Amino acid sequence: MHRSFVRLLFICGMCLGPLHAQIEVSGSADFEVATGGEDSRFVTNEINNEFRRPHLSIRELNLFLFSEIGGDFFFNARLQWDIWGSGRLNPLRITLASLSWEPAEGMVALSVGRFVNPFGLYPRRQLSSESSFINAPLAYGYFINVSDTRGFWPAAGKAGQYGSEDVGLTMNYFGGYATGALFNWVIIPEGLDLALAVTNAAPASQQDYTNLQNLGATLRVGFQPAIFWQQGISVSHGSFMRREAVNSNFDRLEQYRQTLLGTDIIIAYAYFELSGELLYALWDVPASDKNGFQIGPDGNLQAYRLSNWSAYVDTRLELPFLPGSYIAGRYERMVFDKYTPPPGSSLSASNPWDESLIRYSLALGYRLARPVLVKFAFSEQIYDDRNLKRDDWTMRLLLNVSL
Amino acid sequence: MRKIFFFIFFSFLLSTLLYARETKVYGRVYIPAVKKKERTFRGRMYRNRLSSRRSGKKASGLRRSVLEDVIILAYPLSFKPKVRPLKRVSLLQKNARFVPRVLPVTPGTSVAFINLDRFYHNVFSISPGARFDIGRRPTGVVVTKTISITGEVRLFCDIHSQMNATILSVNTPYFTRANKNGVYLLKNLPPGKYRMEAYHPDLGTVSEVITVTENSAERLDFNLNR
Repeated sequence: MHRSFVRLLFICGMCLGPLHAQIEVSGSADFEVATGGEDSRFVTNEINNEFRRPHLSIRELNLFLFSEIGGDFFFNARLQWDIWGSGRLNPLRITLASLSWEPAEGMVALSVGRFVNPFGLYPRRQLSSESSFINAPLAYGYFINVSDTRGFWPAAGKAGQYGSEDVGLTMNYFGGYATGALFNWVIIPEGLDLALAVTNAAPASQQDYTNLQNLGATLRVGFQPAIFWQQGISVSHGSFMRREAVNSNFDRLEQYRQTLLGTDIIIAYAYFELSGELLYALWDVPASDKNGFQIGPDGNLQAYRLSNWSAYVDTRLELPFLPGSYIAGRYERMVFDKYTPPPGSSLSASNPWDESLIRYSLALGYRLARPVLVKFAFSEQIYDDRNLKRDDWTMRLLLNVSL
Repeated sequence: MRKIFFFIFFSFLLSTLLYARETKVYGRVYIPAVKKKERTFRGRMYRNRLSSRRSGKKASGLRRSVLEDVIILAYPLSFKPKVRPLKRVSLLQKNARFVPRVLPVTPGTSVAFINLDRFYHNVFSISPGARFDIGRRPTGVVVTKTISITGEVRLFCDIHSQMNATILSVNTPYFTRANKNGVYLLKNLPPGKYRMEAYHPDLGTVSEVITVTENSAERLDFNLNR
């Protein structure tokens, strides 16, 4: 079933599209010059250590497809070719493939397939043409000590590369998509809306294939108390672990779940915008150390309850005397709470269960032409543990062309 | 009573003479099967869900004809016309689209941008010589910008990426808009030689030279399908 559902939907959509309507195609390309500190790693600052010296790369190529299949049915797809993880171009992927039913005079919509994750704000602003910054927020881009094969694993992300080794998960999947079914209801236009998704896993899962034992549900309520103020509240709960050789001796991995709560805000006026998100995660997980899973006296996996939160605030000022330009600042915080280890746990030394940190970012942008955006961004991370002097600042210059 | 009779009689005589002197250029515009140029599809998946498709449907142009975006221009070749700035010109933002999508003006015209939606809109242009950004504006707020250059000024909304419009600033006082069927009528052109142009922001321009004589009605069709 590996990715077969999304591929099948993509092929069906491509076949159905030409029967009734033309397929509209557009694309975007991101070219980047990036550099980072000596301790740069994709899982902490999105720059692979191998490429920490200034280098030019094709960061992302996207092909967007849209077709009005007929009447109220639409097909959307995104083909993505990027350097996520390794710093080298990954194989071409279908990151978005959804079939939607949206009646013209209705207030509801239904989508099936792989769609934009309704949780929070960042997934809707993930395209570089839409976001002020280049890095994803910490909640989406910083990998934590929870693995989808080992549960709580203090060694996650300490070594190895994303894609080839187990480096843990982010609080919410940085890709910004989820697979399943999505129901949207605009209750009051420009006032109140609701999105409910049933997905193949919790939002932290990076997997795009269907595992029917893993289920997740996400609810987001968005409302606009005033024209200058948009607010969203999101709740999600679901399983996220996947079967691998390392956990093949254990059953019922779907009992380990992530609960994610969040709120997002946009306040804007004239040339100024303030936006941000607050996410709080609860993890019910097993735990592993270098010798394998922690087994309780009853012979079952020991259960841990971990929690952490992350927040970011973006401020963006468009410069009226230089149309097309902006300056933006971001403050981010990620905090890992202390937990109660089960008796006999060998992981008590890792408490809190990961390194809390602050990240500051600054970004400048200038639109050279309607489809051409240039962005410069700098970020620096400071860890609560002052002995942990990780040199993982980043500096990036990005050219985005969207056609 | 006699005075009233003479007044009506001379008014009728004057209007008949004026009508008799009127020159007309009329015709029809043909365009290719219209491809949607608005990039609605990326916005559909990533958009803020607070907006329903109900407003988007109106915005998608199903009730408007793309032929209404065609502007017919007459540039005199045998005399130099007096070109004055237009008065009371406005460009609306309604149902997440610009109305009209193409606005013909003359240089020096002040265009009032009016947001009629219940959500924020922005207007910005990065056209050379006419770069401006009026920022986010709530419902009903009017911001005026003077268009001093000649040519196309492409407008966008920073918040709704599918929104776009064009201000066409032209050095002639003689222009009109085609109706939804593609039919146009230009009246009261002074006799002379003209370069006639049909302009569409996505399909470009076609032109032809004609001579207009007194009391004449010239038919000139344009085919933008090339």
